[in-house]
Amino acid sequence: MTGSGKICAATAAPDGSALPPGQVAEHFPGEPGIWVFVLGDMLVFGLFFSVFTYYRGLDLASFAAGQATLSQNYGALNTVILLLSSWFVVMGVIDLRERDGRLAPRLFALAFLCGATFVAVKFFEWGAKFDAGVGITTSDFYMYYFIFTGLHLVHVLIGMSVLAFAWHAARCGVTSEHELKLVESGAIFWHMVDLLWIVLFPLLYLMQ
Amino acid sequence: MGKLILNPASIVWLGLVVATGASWWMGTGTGNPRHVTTAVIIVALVKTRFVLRYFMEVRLAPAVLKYLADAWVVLVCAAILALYWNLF
Repeated sequence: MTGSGKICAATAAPDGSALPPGQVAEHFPGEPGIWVFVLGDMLVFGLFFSVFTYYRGLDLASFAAGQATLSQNYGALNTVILLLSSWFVVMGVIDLRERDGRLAPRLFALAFLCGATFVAVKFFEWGAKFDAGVGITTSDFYMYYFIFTGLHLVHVLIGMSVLAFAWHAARCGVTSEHELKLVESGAIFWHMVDLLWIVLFPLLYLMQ
Repeated sequence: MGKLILNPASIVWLGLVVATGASWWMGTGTGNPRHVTTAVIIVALVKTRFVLRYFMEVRLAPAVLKYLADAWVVLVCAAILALYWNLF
């Protein structure tokens, strides 16, 4: 930590000495509590994925007809956008923890912009569906499509507020281990948002 | 910035983008639907393991977190594929 209010020390080994560059000490990422939440959320979504696959098997024709109206390009684009945002967040956390943290605010801001782009693409995609007269009650496929992508969108919006916090913290200077852990926890949440979409994309858009 | 980018997570990110492109290509192609879907699901769950280990830093975490993360990947992959292939 420095007096300028920004973290800049290399990751400290248990004895307090700095590790060689590129070597990271074993540590518990984020606060333990975030893992209870994240693993719980992942388990719930795992159940959603299973329910969707089961009911798809009971009505293949209807689910295939619904999926045929989706744009695989939008789905793939949003996957890449979230992956890019995750990379910005990884770099931001490393910059805060192992470097002087000067790039971190810009990296978190870029991740936030990616989140906003994801939301814009999603609304564009939903808008096209609503314009075509398709809604949540049109078919079972669309019910799952709107509920799952809607729940995921709520996670994206929460994640964006977490990224705004990380940006603010990095900008003001992360001055304690506790603050760094909070930023790490936020980053873990954002990566979970990315992870869930990585499974939702093939499930909703690509499954044949 | 250059040194910051030279990180294992950057290589993993590149691999994830390539895997996304490959899934999109397979999923929109004309291969055997059952085989394509199986491949796309497996690729997706392998991607989540990389996100867990390299982005969420589970690779640096205590063993219990590593096992829980791996258990989720295997469980979800097995559940989706078993339901897809009507094994229940």
